Amino acid sequence: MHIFVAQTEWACYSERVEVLLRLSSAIALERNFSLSTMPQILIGTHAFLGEVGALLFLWVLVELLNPSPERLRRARILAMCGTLFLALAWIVGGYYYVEFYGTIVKPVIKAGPMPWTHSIVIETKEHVFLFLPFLAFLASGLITTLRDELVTNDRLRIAIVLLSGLIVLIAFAMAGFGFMVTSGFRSALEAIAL
Amino acid sequence: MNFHIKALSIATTVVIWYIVAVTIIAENFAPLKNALAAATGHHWVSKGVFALILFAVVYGACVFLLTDSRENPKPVYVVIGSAIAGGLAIFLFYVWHFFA
Repeated sequence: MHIFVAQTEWACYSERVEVLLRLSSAIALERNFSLSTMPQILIGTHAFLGEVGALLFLWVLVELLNPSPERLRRARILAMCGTLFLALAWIVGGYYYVEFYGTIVKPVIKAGPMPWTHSIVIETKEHVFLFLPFLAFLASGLITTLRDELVTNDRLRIAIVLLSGLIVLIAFAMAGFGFMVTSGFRSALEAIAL
Repeated sequence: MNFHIKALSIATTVVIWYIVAVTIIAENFAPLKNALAAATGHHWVSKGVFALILFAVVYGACVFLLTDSRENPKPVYVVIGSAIAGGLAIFLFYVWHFFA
């Protein structure tokens, strides 16, 4: 019985590895794909822009904890830069997702040992990420509009602190999701190599 | 540059729930997903473009219709709550979709 189960599992595993091998060679031939070129640059740029955007909003949060006109001036500039970085991360990540992910990475992950990294993680990431530029624009708009009023308007200042914290959390969650997707792809490639 | 705070918050809330709704409905209703894909070439790009348009339209309408308030933080808290609830809704939907 145990031998039969093991043989069945091995057959399923071999079949999946075969699918992966066929997929990877077909993709490489069709797209002249190299793992060290364009997609890698786009992923790196997307992650860099997103993480710097998150750090800028963390800085905004700190500036708003104990505000003065000088700190609020810095917060305005940082929030605008953070919004720009997150918007650029959206564009660069979107270009990678549309041009490379769907045709090259997705089929490999789905045939690999961690298909949930596409079906759950990337599907959640691609849609929840869309919240970020709007949340960032809202935070930036509030800080720009209220200006020095935030020294005395504690109710709105605390709301903006929490909003900035949420932006940081979502942006770093996106980075974590990106790591999981990379792990899914790597595990699929390891299944081919081993 | 001055923004209408209430309009900005309402537009953001509407966009968040639009993203949640269009994501879940398009996954269960193929004609919508196909229509989104046909609009720009990719369903995800269409979702983003329509979100931008919706944001601008709702913001414009709210500026025209509503009186702003610089004292009330409630619309910002509604945005925060919507982003948390909407994000969880999308995540749980895809978990369910994967195991279903």
